[in-house]
Amino acid sequence: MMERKYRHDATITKVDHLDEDNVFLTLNAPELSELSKPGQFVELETSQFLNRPFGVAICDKKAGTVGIGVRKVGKGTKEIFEYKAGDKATLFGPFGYGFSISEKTSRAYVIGGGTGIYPLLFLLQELKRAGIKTYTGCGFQSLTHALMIDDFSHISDDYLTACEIGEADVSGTAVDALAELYERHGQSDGTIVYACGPIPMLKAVNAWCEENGIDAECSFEARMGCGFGVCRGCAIPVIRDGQPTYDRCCVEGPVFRRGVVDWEGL
Amino acid sequence: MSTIDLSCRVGDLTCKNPLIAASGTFGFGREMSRFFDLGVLGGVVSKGVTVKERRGNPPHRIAEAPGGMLNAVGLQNPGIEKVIKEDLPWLIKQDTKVIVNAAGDDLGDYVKLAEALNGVGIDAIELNLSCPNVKTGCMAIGSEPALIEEVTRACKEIADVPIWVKLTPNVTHIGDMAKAAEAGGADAVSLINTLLGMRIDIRTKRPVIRNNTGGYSGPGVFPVALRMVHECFKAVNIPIVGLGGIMSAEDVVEMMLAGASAVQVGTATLLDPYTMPTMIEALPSVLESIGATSVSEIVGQMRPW
Repeated sequence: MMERKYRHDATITKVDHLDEDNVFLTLNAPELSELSKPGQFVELETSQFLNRPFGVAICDKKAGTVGIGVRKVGKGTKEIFEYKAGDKATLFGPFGYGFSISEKTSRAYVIGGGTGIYPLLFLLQELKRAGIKTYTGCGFQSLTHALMIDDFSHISDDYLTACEIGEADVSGTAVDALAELYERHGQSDGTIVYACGPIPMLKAVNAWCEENGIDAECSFEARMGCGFGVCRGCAIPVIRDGQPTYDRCCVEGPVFRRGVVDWEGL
Repeated sequence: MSTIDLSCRVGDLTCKNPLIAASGTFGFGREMSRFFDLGVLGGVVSKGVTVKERRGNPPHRIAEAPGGMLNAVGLQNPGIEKVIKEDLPWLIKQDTKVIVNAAGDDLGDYVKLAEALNGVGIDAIELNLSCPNVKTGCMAIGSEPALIEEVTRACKEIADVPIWVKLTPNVTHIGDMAKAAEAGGADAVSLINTLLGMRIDIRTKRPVIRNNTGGYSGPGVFPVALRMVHECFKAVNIPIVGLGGIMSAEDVVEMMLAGASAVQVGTATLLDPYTMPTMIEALPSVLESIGATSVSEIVGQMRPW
């Protein structure tokens, strides 16, 4: 039998129910943890027809584990929500073009919204390893919807939670948190914004970056067929050679430099 | 060591095994080569290629459905010139048969594509007379026997490789379409393309797919595909390449018993990129279990009641 490098028959080692809709799974998958880079994703098999894509949220190469955060939204994720430690799971990946960590980067603003925060945890882990200062802002509907505050504040040099309803560090959106963090820490050569969240948030991040002349890498999500570039189901509007076209969220993305994205076309 | 002969013939074309990757589920092969050496496959049919570059349909392009999925990608591809320059040179170097799926708006487009592909070194052209997700050409041509025959004949006169005609299931009598392809000189017919379908988001009352409709594929279409392959097997004398919802080596055997000389695997690859090698590995033992010593001997051997 031929080797199947990108197929992983994993065991779930830990299940953390973060709230009544969110679960964080840790899976024992040594090869997957070896291959994964921040911003990349895995495709998880369920009893539903198509596999479900999730950004790699933690990656411990030593322990041979990866983690994913999952929010219960439909039949597939409902099933995942019921997983227990010891259950088996089949995953494919890692797939996609992740966040780039340049040697020139000196400080990073890391902005997440809702379940978009999960893959940023792995990014923060690698930014810290690279000695880059990290200022993180995560936006949620309300404090009761806030996720993993301790994990994010622990790993970041500065951290703010933003909520539009109720008392939080910042009253407003993730972009308001970004503005506040920027007020505190400013920019130097090699400042970059990393963002992952719903499209309205990414649009707002892009507009803020445009205004402040800062580059950004934005991670998108899309309905995916395969996850590895052959079906062209997960189209993200981009501008290539001055022309509007569609890139694949699963190959050219899910992380795109903000200048490439056709924000009007989204 | 298995002594089962997996080689098969589609007209003059001999494949090392009957598993060919279906168009639109395998790109131009390069993305798949990180998973396995394409040399294990009987063949690869490229993504549908058009004369000019096509951007495809806006998202959402896919929706899940019981037993499968809908897609309306809309033939996104860089256009024939770029494909010949940048994609096919790599693909034809792989140790597998290369079939280019050609999609056009009208007769002129198909002729241009066939002409452009002369001398490139591919093994066959599959005329896409069946894509349901574009406004003109393709399925519109493939639903009219007279047009099928005309396009097939025109391409046959120009092309230096065999011509396969990929048929749509969205017709009343698919056997008539196969006959039209045969009359036009086709070397083979491949079927089925996707079944035209739709999903609606009940909250927004909008179709899930931006194109409103999409092509349904996956194991749910398998029985329909089998019936249609058998119908065409009875209707024509040219070989049939069977596809539609094949998920296992058993399905391959079933499709060949219905009359397919070779098969294509599409949607199954999207769920597991290793699915075709898995089927090829399992095929000899499935054949052995039914007392066959080769794949070619089972073609059309279904015993109707």
